[in-house]
Amino acid sequence: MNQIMTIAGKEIRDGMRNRWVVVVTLLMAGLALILSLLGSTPTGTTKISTLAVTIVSLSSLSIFFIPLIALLLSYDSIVGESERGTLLLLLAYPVARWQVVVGKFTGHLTLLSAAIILGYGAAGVAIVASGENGEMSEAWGGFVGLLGSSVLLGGVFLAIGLAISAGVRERGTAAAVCVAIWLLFVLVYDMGLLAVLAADSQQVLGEQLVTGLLLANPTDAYRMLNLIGNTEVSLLSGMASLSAARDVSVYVLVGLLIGWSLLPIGAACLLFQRRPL
Amino acid sequence: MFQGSLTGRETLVFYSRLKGQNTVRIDDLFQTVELVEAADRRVATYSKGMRQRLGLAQALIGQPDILILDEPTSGLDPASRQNFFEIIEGVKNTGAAILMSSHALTELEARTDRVAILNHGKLAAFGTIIELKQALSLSSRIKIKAAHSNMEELSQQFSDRYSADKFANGVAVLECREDQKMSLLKDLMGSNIALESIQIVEPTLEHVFSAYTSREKSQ
Repeated sequence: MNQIMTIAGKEIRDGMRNRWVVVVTLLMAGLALILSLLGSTPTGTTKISTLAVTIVSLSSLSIFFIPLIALLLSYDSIVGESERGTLLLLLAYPVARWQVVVGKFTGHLTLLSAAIILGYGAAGVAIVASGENGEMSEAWGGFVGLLGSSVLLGGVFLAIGLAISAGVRERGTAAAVCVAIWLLFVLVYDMGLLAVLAADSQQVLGEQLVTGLLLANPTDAYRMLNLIGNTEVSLLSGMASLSAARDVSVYVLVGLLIGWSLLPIGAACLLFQRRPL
Repeated sequence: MFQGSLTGRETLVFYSRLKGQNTVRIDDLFQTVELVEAADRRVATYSKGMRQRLGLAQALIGQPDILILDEPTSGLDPASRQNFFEIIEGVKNTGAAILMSSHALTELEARTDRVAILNHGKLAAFGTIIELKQALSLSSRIKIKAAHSNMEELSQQFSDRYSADKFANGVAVLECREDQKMSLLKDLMGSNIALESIQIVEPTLEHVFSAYTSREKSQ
């Protein structure tokens, strides 16, 4: 535990020192503020709260943004140290390889969580400060859910990046694989699924299968988690009409996201164990 | 080997924690390797020799019983080289074993208890330097300077051991085995022939090394 915390602590220090946290927090706060300000314009006299609008737009943005910064943070963590030669010395110390993996993940998750909570939290505070509508209590739950699920989504892609970093020989390869993974999960998968559904006019694919396919992609699990959790939000996003999504409980979705983090961490440990120095 | 963005102190704190050692002794380590003024500077600003010394400090965390050092003096200036061997001497006196690999044979000669010579990854020789020299029966060389007339006298006196052409010029170089050395010297001094100077050149570790490695090659 001590070793893990030491390594995590060093990652956190690195993240602070190279201004990663500051830059990403500002970026997130900026985007969230822009979205919440834009979000408050079209509500007009409808009964949908500004916060609900913000949750929908922020979660759509996060699907692209969070996996990208998570992968950027973690893809370098092992292969980069190996190329710089610091890994050799680190492993000469009484520290197991899995402890290195878990320590780095813990550190990165702390950094990313801080950026998400501070950045998005700033947007939440701004909305409250502008305080137009009083019936926001229900949407607040959704906002906290957005923060939590964004951290979970970040964890998934941090873990995937770590596994890639442990598995490849060169930084360039790691970066290329990460871009491919990002495109696959964020863009290609949904487009493919949409194409399949559009072609399937006979409804050969059962509802179960469609739900399963959606759940197989962590970004879709994240989307469902944010858009169905809250009636107001789901009405707004049009997700309410997707019957497949309705049967899945929040716990299953959270469990899936956690599983999607643990699996790549396990893979990273195995790959790192087999990695020649 | 070290991350440039951390300071020297942060680096040692990190490694001390990994070794489960108290971090209060870090100041002593900086003192030992003479990096006190640079302790709070980023490692990226260190020179090669400073990094080398930080590496030594890192190896000394927690007073290890054995130190394995690979080319520890490369990149060090003569003063820090001196300092390095003083530190090593100190560590040795606390009872630690130190295994050091180096190509700078001359600086090892006076400071090692035992040497192992590796040739193509195989152990070619192992023992104290004196043992190795004796095993090879490498000869010492005695260099004599004297006036021409005296040289001729010398060549006659030592005609039983050395051919006359050795004494041809003003300088004679006489090779002799370790066990003959003392008697040869005694004879030289006792001959009552005036010598300008006498110089004894012992075989160095360099000679031992090349003898062992070339012997391997010829086999």
